[in-house]
Amino acid sequence: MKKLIVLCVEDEAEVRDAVIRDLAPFKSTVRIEAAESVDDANTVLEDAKATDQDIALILCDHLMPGTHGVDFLIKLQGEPEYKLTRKVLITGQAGLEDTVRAVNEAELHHYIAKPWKADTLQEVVRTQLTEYVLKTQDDLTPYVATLDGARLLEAIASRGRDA
Amino acid sequence: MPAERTLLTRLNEPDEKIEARMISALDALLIDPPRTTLQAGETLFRQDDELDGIYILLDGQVKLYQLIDDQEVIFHAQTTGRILGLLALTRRSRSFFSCRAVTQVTVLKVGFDDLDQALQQSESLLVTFIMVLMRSMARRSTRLVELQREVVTLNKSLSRERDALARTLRELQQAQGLLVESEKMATLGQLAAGVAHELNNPIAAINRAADFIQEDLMALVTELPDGAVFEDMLRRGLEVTPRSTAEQRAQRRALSQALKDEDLADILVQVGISDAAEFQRIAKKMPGDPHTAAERMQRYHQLGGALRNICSCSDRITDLVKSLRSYARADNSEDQEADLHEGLEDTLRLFSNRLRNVTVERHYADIPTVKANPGPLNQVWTNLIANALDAMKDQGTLTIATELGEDEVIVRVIDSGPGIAPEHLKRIFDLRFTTRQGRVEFGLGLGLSISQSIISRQGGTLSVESEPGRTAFSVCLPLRSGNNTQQENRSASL
Repeated sequence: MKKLIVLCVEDEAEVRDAVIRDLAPFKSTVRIEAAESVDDANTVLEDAKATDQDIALILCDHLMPGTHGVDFLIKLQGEPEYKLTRKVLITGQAGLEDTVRAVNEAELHHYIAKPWKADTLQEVVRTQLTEYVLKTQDDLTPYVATLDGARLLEAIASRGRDA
Repeated sequence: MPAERTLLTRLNEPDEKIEARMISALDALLIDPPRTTLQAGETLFRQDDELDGIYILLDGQVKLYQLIDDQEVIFHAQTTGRILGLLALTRRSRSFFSCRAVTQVTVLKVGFDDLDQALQQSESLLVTFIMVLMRSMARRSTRLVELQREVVTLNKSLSRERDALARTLRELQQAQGLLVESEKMATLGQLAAGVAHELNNPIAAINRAADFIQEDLMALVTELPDGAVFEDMLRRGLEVTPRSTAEQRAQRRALSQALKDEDLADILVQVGISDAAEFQRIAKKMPGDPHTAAERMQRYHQLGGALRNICSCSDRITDLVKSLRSYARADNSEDQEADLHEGLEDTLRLFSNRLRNVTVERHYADIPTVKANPGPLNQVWTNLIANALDAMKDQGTLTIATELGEDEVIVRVIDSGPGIAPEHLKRIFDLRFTTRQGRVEFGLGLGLSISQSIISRQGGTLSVESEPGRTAFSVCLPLRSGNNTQQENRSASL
C-alpha cells in the first residue's frame, strides 16, 4: 500500500518533536514528514511528487522565519494537486487577521491553539485523515483500524450497496 | 452773505461758540422752549422709540447704546455731541440708540416741526445747525472707526487667547495621556512582575524534576539486561545536536535503501545511528529481534530527548521571566544607575516572537550607566522597537546602536523599513498621530509623544531621521558626573 503523507511544518525543534511523537498512533497507515520551514516543506512536497505519494494532511505553524504558515497554505490552495489536502494550523501566534485569511483563502480545516493536548491533536488528525481517505481512496479497509472506523465502515457498506 | 460762504468761513470756530450760538438762536426763535432735567441713570428715550423731535444737550453727559443679546453695548459716551436723536432726525423715524443720562443732565427739546420753522426763518441758525450736525456726525464717524479698530484688536487678542487655550488643552490631553499610560504601565508592570515571580516556582520545580528523572533512570537502568544501551541512548537523546529536517530525511533515505526497511531506517535516524553495522553491534546486546531492539532504542532515546527538551524549554522560560521581571521594574519610580544595554536586551527578548524574520544588529559601544529610571526608558525602547517592527512589517534589519558622546550617551533604533513620508515626519511626535488606521496595538498614537516626554523628563532629546530603507530614532541622554564605565562589552549577540 502506498502510504499517505502527513506533513508537519514547525520551526522549533522541541515543538516539532512533540507533534511528531503525538502522531505516533497513525504511523502504521501514514508516513510522517517533518519540515522546519516552508522552504523545507516545499522540498518534501517535491520529493513526494517525484515518488508519487499523496499529501493527505498538513499541520502547519504560523510564525516561522521566512514564509509564514498561512501564506504557505494559501499558496497550496491555489495548486490543484493540493486542493484535497487537509490543512490545519497549529499555532499560538496567528492573529485574527491571519486566521481569517487562512479560513477564507486556504479553506483551513482546523485550527489548533498551542499548547495543545495529545487527545485533541489526535482527534483532529483522525477526523481530517478520515475526511481525506473518504474523498480520495477506493479501498478504505486499511484505514479502519487507525482512523474513524465507524464512519469508514459505514462508507464501505454504502459503497457496497451502490456498486 | 450767501450761506455756503458763511458755513466755510466759520469752520474753524470752536464747538462751544457755535453750539452757544445755535442754542441762543433756538431760544430766541422758539421763545424759550422747555428744558428738562434728568438724574443720572434716567432714560431719555429708547431704541426704536418714535421720536417727534431732537434733544439738545445743554449740560451733563449721556450715553447712547443698543441692546445686543440683552447686553448694553455703548456706542457713544464722549462722542454723543450736542444733538440727541440725530439719526432719528436724519431718517425721520424711530430712534437708533437708547439714550440714558450718565450725570445729571439738562436737555432742550425741539420738535421737528418747530425746528423746521426755525431753520426756515433764520439762515444763520441754519448755518450753525448744519455746522453742529456736521461736527457731531464727524465725531461719531470717527468713533465708528475707533470701534472698528477696537473690534480688530479684540479679535486679535481673542484669537491669541484661543490659541493659548488650545495649547493648554493639548498639553492637558498630553499630560492626561501620559498619566493614563504610566498608570497602565505601572499596573501592567506589577502584574508582569507578579506573574514572573509566580512562574519561577513551577519552573524551578520542572528543572529539578527533569534532573530527578534523569538520576532515577540512571540508577534503574543498571538493573536492565540492556542497561548499557539504555544509558548510551539516553545520553544520545540528552546531548543530541539538532539536525535539520532535510538532513534527517536524506539519512533516512540512504539507510532505508541499505536496510530495505523504511520503518527501521526511520527509527535509526531518530536515535542517531547512521549505518547498519553500528546498529547490529548495539542490537546484539539487546534481547529480542532487531525490530524490538530498535523500538527499545527509540524509547530510550526519546526519554533523553524529552528530558533535553524540558531543560532547554524551561531555560528559555527562565530567561523570559528574567527579562520580564527586569523590564517590569517600571513601578519603581526612582532613578538608579541604569544599564541601557540591559534594558535594550530585555526589551528585545520580549519581542522575540516578532524578531524571527528580522536580523538584529547590535552595535554596542562601551557606555557608562545613566542615572535614570529604567522602567520608563524600557517603555521608550518598546515604543521605538515596536514602531520599527511595524514599519518593516517584521522583516528586515533592526539595528540597535549605542554611542558615547561628549557628555551624553546616544541610543539609536534603526529600521530598514520604507521610511517616513516627509509630510508625516513633522507630525510624528504629535499626540495621537498614527498611521495605523483604527488598529489598536501598542497605543493610539501615544507612543512617540509619550517617549518624547519620558526622554525630555530625563533631560534628553528624541529625534528622527528618515529616508527610504533607513529610519533612525536617536535618543540622547545626558551623563551626570561620577558614572562608572560599564566594564562588560556586550557587542556579542545573544
